[in-house]
Formats: sequence, C-alpha cells, structure tokens
Amino acid sequence: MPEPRPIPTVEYKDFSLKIHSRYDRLDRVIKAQMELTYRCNLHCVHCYTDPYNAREFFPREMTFAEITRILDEMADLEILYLNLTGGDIFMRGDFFQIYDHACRKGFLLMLYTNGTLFTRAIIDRLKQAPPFSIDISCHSVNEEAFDRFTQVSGSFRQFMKGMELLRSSGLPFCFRTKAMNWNKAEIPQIRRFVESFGQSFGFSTSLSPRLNGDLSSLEYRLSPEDLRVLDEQEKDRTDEEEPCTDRSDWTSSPPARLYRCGCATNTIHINAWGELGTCTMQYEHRASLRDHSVKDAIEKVFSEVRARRYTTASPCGACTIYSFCEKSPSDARRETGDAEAPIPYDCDVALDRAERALHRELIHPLAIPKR
Amino acid sequence: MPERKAYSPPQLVRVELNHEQAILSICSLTAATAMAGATNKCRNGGCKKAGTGFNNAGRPS
Repeated sequence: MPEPRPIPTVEYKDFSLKIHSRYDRLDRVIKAQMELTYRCNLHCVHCYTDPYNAREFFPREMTFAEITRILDEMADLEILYLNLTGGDIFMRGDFFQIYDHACRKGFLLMLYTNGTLFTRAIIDRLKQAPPFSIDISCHSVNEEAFDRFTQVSGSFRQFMKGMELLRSSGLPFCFRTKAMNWNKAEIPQIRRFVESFGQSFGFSTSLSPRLNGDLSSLEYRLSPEDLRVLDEQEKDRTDEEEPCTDRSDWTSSPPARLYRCGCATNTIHINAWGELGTCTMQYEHRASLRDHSVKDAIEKVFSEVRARRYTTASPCGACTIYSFCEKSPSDARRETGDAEAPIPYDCDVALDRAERALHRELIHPLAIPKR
Repeated sequence: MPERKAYSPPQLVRVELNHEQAILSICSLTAATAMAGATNKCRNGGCKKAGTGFNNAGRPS
C-alpha cells in the first residue's frame, strides 16, 4: 500500500486572498449577510432595524424552511462566507437548527450579536462547531450609559456576564464599536476594555436612517469636528504604519455610476423578510426570495444596481472628493427624498478628510462658504 | 491565439482558520471597523486603490 501523503497546510490569509482574487476575476458572489430576525432583547437608539423589532412585524420574518432553502441555494452558488445577524440571532428559538444546517453546508460562519444573551449552554453549543468569528457590539462600558443607550435596564450586567463566558470559552471573537456623540468621550475606556480581552480596537462612525425612514438615529452622529479629533487620535496611535504615498487617484474625475462602493460586486444581503439586496443599507433595489431564486434575484438586483447612473444635476455627479465620502444612495433617499442628492453631513465630513489628507484647501462640494 | 494556461490538477489543502488573518476587501456591508480618516494609511483600505472610500472599508473575511 502506498504511503499516505500528508495534506499541505495553507495559512488563512493566503487562502482568503486567493479566494477573493479568484472570485473577483470570475465576477461571482462569495459573501452573504443574512438577517435572521429583527427581534432583539435590546432597543438601541441608533439601531436601524429596531423599528421592526415589534410584535406586529414578526409574522413577516423568514421561516425555518425558507431560510434553509435559501442556504441550500447559496451553497449551490458556491457562496463561502455567511454572516448571520439580526436583530439578535439568539432571539430565534430555532437558531441552532439554522446554524447546524449552515455548518453542514460548509459556510464560513460569522455571527453578529449584542453579547447579552450568552449562556453557558449557548457557549457549549457553539464550541461543538465553532464559527469563524463572533462579532460583539460594544458601544459603551459604562453601566448607566449602556443601559440608557439600549433602553433596557440591566443590559450592561448581562453584557458583562456574556463577555466573561466568551472570554473563557476559547471561541474566536472580536468587538465592534460605533463612535457616536454620546460615547465619544468613552472611546479610551472602550479601547482599554477591548484590549483587556487581547483584542485590537477599532471603531466605525457612519450611522444610517432607520429602516422605516425614521431619521432619529442620525441625531447620534459625531460632528465633523469630533470626527477630526478622533481621526487625529487614531493617526497618533498608528504612526508606526507605512503612510500611503500614492494619492494619484484621490481626487480624480468621478465615475458616472450611482453606486461607487462595492455594491453589486461579491456580496449579497438578505433581510429578515427574505428580500435580497447588495448591502445592509441598500434598499433602492431588492428582490423577494419568496418570488425569486437566489440566482435570479442576484441577476436582477445586480444588473439594476450596476446600471444606475447620476441622471440629474446633483453635485455628487461631478464631485472630485467622492472617494472620501460615505454617501449611500438609500441613505440619501431617506434623508433627502432623492437617491442622487448629496447628504450635506457627508459632504462636510468628506471635505474635512480630503483637506487633511491632501494638505490643501478645497472648495466645499456644495459650494458652502467656510465659516 | 493566446497561449493556453498549463493545466494544474486540483490540490487538496488544509486551511487553518484564523479570523485574525482576515483580509479587507471592497465594502458592501455596513460593518466596517476603525477608520482611515485623514491618517494617510491604507491599513483599512481607506483609498480607492483598496477599492473603497474612507471609513467604509469592507468587512474582514
């Protein structure tokens, strides 16, 4: 009998790079984010899904049979990465049935959760077949501020209990922090907390309108001045890194397309009602998976998104600092009534970032005189 | 006629999953970490060369 040959081992980073490059060339979807439910035990004031975290909306959510059918179709399409999110995933009584099905289908699983629902039983169950990563929302480490933000008394204690269970579990996890005007002063404490788990700290700052069109979540945005301070602090902390010296295309002519991000490239998003889109917040173009197969929905939605162009005289169409801008067409629709229109806040932030990156004064995208 | 790429047989490899080695790619999900801001760093894919806008980097995968 021939000697069995050992199977060579590949580092994850090399594998991931190879997969991404290959599927970029093939123009294929490899990632999916699926909202299993809008149900959540918390009611965070900035949360875009929370308006649908109410009893009257629950009957619209995907059933177990619908979810497994979609997972099967996604596996057939060779989608590899699957991010399960909510609401909170653990609010579904059938979560582990869904999880087991996804594991059997071979997805690399990433779980998003608020971390307050972990129990010993959940941790032990996850340890039987660990996900690729568990991402925990962490927007405050101050009990009073945490409970005020989540609008649930005692939620901070539940969170801390969950984190201690997770810490000792050996499961792979990391934290996700959103810097907002109410927690900006807490960023150093949150950083220390995250680092005490041996994790590196990072944060995002963009906030979107809520899915029902309510704009109250935007009240928690950082001002452009606050963003500048945080950027500078970040810069001070990362000075050991190589600066990017290639600025050749930072202010180039903008493409005519409406979606200048990664929408309709390699990722799909499926909301709790079974509607497929290209991004968590992209709601201009969706297809219901109750009427379409995943394959047909991707073809339909991707071709619609890719075909969108600026057709009006919106300043965004000709903006040369668009690569510093976070505007999403759906956010613009909700905020201004027009997907092509600029979001003044994003213009202010983009201008500030562009000026600091390029070290020169620029004209405001909306031609607003400086104060 | 362009030269055909030489055939290489499929290879079986073992991948050690390590989420700390996850890479950033073009963003289409709102789950970005950290920010590049005006720090002139590419660590977060903060310029178009990395395929995304500032503070809008892809989720690690």
